[in-house]
Amino acid sequence: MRSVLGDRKTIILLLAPALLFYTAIKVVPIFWSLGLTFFEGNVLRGFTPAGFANFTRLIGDSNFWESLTFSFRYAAVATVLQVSAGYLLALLYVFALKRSSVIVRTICFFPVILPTVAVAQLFKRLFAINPQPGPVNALIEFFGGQSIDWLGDATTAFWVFMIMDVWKSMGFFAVLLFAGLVDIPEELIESARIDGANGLRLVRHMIIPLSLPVLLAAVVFAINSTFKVFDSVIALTNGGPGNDTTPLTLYMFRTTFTYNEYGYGSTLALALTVVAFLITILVFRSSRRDITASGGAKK
Amino acid sequence: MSRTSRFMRSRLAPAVAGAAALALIVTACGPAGGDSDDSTGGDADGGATEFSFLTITENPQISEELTRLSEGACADANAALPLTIESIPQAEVNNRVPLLASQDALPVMFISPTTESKVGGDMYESGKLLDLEATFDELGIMENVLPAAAETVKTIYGSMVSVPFQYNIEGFWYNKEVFAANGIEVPTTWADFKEAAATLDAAGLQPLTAAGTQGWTITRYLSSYLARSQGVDALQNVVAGDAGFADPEYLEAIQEVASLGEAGYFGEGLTSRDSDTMTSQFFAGNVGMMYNGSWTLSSVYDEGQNPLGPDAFGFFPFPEVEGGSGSIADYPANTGTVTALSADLYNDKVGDWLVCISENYGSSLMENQGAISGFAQNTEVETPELVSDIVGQMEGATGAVIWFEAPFGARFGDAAGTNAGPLLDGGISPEDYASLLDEAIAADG
Repeated sequence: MRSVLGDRKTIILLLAPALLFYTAIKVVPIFWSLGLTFFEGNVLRGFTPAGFANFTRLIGDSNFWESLTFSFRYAAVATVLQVSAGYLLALLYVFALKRSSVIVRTICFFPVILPTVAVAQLFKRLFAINPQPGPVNALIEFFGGQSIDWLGDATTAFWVFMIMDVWKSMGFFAVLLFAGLVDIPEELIESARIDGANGLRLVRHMIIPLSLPVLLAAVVFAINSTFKVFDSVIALTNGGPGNDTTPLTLYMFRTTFTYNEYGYGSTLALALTVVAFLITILVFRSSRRDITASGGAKK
Repeated sequence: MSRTSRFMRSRLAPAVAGAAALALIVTACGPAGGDSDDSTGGDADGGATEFSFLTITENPQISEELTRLSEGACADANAALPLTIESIPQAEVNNRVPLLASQDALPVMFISPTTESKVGGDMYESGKLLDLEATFDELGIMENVLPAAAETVKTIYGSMVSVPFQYNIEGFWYNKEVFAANGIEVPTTWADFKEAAATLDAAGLQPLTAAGTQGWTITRYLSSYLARSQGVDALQNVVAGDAGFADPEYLEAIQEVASLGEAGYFGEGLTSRDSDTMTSQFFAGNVGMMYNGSWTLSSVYDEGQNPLGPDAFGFFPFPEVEGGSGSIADYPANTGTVTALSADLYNDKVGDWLVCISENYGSSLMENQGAISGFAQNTEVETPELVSDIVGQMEGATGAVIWFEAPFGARFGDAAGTNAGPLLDGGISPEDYASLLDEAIAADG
């Protein structure tokens, strides 16, 4: 086996199909899309060169800035809530439930495997106001309150998104963070306890610093998925009311496939890619700084 | 093992592995069928091998009637060219159909995007849509199309691009019992209409219903009001650049419609309400009036949807606006969603289907679904009273009012529809709504 895998030609031959496949379905479309940013038109009408017109338009497009702002807000709040909820669950698994956490872990992980559209339909019914009030509004009415059109208002719709996102993904982050927490040597925690660290102090000064790498990985995962949110928005509010819950992904999709403006749609896609790239760099740089800081403290 | 065979194994193994992996990928990425022509439903000459129809999930009326015809009056045409039906959500039409057109993968008949199918639109200009006027003339079946329906298609799209499977007028459906119980006469003026709504509201009933998720159920109020106040050319004047939605007389229409929402006449949860909920609210007897089209007749005569029975409901035209230049006899009319045919896949067998449809669809639709199509009824069908009443109103129509989004582009349709719910629930002011519309017109170019 070593002689086979040590052969450069073998490596190339084994990698070539996957690389070709990846290039064909990932790299080529990316460059194709990049090229389209300098054109205007669509597949039916054909394409004509547009120079930098799409980029100029992007800067002055208020819809772009609004959808970008929504994407940022969505990603920031959802990331904090998802990772926090996941972390609390993971702490519960490790320190409270211990070996009996399997059933709770399974139950909490169940929403992760459900299709997003099904979850969105479920939440639509939960927060419905008509034809009959959903369970949430029924509860409000039971306590003498008035039903709320949760999905008809931008602010309340946003928080429905957050609740749905946290419910659906906290099981995933809990498992991810659980794997990081169980890796912390038991002796370290025991010695901290002997030194008098308990409860919040133990979590703050021992658990969080020691699980920081996996915590950062979870943050990267969360930002990645929430910044690109698309299917749950389509299924829950379709970007409404008005365009109040339209993220950049949906705006890009509509521009390209509803308004048939492939050139400008590609420009929006490029903007989304650049922003995602910048966020990734930012997260990784901050994580490197943190590791260096903890290394310095040890010295 | 000899040195040669070891050499062969060491050289050949990776090569074979690589070739096998490549073959696997090529196979996986290849078309599912053996013959690429299959994907377009084309025969050796490029014509159709099946009567494939891409329709919308929300409206099964056409597919149900075509299926019925394929098993009855059009069995011969179906034997020669079998009917196959695929449904997609209406929201996907704008995305999928142009893509299929660009890939030469259109079915024989399909729901086409409204804006793109008009003269000047990408679908029309691509030459993918069959010229139905020329085809119907060639087949000698134009006499089976109601002249008013053909005229409506040509007025809206600039050319006969759509098979008139439906012929609709629009107005208000109302609950006769609720009106009678509250002493309300059918309103003929906008002031009467608002008074009727106020009376119902005071009686603790929900006066109106609409679906915020389907913006057209609200924007139709705007086009109808404008047609009454400014005449049937109101929207064409905007297209021509002679008027804008921020102009006082246009803004008045938006303000008037918004005032209905402000008064709470549409009930709770308007913005997130869908069209099924809207119609079920109305047929349950909880609502006084609902703006909708004559296509609602099939629901009126459906016991499953209308437990109160057809006699409980009536239909009246959008009321006149006092001092306006439009007439109450001008009806919003349409022929349903654009149902186009592929120019590339047309052949004699498709022609046979069209002949059969034109001869039988009108009567069959009336008989089985109680709905009115743009085809003549060549067989005598017993017509219920309500249907006769609506047909009478159609015949008495003096002018056609086009719907709000019809003369504009996709961005306008999106801006008008997605903000219609917020306009009624106060999420956006009439002035801002007017600005959004004018901006969308500019963006559509």
